[in-house]
Amino acid sequence: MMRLSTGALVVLGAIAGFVLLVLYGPLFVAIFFSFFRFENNAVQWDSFSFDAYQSLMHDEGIIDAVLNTLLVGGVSVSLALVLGTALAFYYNASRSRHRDFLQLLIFLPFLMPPIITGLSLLVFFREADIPRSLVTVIIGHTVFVLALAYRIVLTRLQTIRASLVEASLDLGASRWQTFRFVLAPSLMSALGASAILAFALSFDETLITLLVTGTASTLPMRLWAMMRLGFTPDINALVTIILVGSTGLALLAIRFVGVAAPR
Amino acid sequence: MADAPKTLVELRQVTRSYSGVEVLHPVDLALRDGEFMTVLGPSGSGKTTILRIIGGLVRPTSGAVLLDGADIATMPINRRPFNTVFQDYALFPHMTVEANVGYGLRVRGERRARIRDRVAETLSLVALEGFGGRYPAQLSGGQQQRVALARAIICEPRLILLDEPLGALDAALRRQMQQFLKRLQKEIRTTFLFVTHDQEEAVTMADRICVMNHGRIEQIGSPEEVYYRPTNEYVARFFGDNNLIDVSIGGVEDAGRALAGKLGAFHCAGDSSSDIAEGRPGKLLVRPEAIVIGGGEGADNRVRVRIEDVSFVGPVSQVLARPLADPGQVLMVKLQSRAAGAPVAAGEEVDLAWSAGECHVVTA
Repeated sequence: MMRLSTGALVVLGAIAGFVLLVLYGPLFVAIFFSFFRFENNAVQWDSFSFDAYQSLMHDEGIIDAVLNTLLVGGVSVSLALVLGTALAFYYNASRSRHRDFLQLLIFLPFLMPPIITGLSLLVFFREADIPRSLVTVIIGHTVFVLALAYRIVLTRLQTIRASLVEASLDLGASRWQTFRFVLAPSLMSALGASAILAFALSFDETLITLLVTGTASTLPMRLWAMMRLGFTPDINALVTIILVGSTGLALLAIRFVGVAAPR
Repeated sequence: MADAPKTLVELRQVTRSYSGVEVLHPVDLALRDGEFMTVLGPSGSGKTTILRIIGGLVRPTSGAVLLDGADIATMPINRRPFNTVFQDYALFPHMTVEANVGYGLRVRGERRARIRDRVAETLSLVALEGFGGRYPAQLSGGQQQRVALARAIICEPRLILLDEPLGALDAALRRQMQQFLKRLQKEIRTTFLFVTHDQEEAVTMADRICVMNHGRIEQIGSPEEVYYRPTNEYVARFFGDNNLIDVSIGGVEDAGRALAGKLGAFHCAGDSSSDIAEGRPGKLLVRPEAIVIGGGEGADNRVRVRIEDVSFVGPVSQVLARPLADPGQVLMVKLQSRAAGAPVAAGEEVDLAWSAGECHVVTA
């Protein structure tokens, strides 16, 4: 281990503390004010309540947004998993020189600024005369999270020794049985991890959604809309919910990826 | 004479190329039903390619693969009545030993109860009773090896293909597994095709050895044949420390063949030498243990040498000698070690002698 002087440790510790404060301070402020009210330039300490959350529960717009978010996430993640797995299998088995180009195409929507991805989808939907709705949002999200599902499944697939597949065929299994009994069980943890991560991405994706949606609104979009009408405790409550939701998913994903890592 | 053994699998003029490079030149090989054949060769000699072609993992570029006389070139791997023991064992890591061994029966749709009985039977055959519930990662290398073996034999294949299966084991365990495999092969009366790069392993285990080099079969024969009567210089050199003496091949005589070289005239009774044309250059082969030091007057072959070195290597002592007629060459003699020490010492001039029946000639 590298040894540092006490002075250096104090300075580095202070920098780390400052970075954490800047990173997480605003989040805690938001969480704090989802439970307390701020009036007359002072925090009203006796105002602790779940009112903000209760009013969210009764806000039909919010309920709709939550359902839309879950629907978009669920469908686009499922689509991305199926497509990503198929593409990963193709990349792994193909000897074509074009497979790397294909891989780049899969990654592009993920790597490009979301506004570019969103705009190009928007232009396409307009030109193709596809009315904007939740369906277009789902398409947008699928395109966006596909790269993630593809990459995680491919990484796992590449750690599976070719001899396992050969052994399965050699023992008389059909291709389907080999997939079912040998490959799929080895891919389960990778599929789980990519499902959670992809869902977390879809959950708070805003820009693409904003561009390709019709009248329907997802949770982050609802938040966006609420903020334009001024800050209310509801917004803080909503931020807190989104924060807890995505952090929880991220933690779950880390656990899964840890399990999915090759032994 | 007993009936000639039936041919199980036959390769006829089989080749294999990878992107235009031929790694397997036209190969003919007939595998007899019930035999234990080892395919021996250095890495890159094409031995694994042969195994994979028979197993159906690699398609031959040209030529025919016959099973019971019928071409199986287009028969998919999962329909061939052969099973493979892979070099890395290829055990399914997420399945228990029981599930691994029973896999072949499961994919054939056997009933659960029957699978359980057969797995128990097979596990006891490889001395792994009670290990059924474990996972491969919980087993030692030798145990994993036996699970792979059990998995391969449970479907009662016509032929078992083994791809350097003992490569990852330490020397003691290796010898133990060699004997075990040999016993098992006799017990289940199945044909084994065993690929290895270890010549001692090949000799110990095989009924017949197929020696390969650079994508060609150099010789197929019993261990004694390839050891004492190699058909070419490569095989002669591959099997240890043969003495090779440059000669030119002379006429046929009563006892066999007359040869002449820098070191003098020789007589060789080797049976395969009769079809070699007169006047061709060749190599006379003498095994170091067949040479007698200070041989009697009546010996068929004799060379005058100066002893260069005598070294004790346990049960044998190794003597290096340079012929007086050509000091550039070194001949090796192996003697049984005796408490009294070797009968010669470095610097002495003696005769080395061997009989016509103890040598062999190959064309260069």
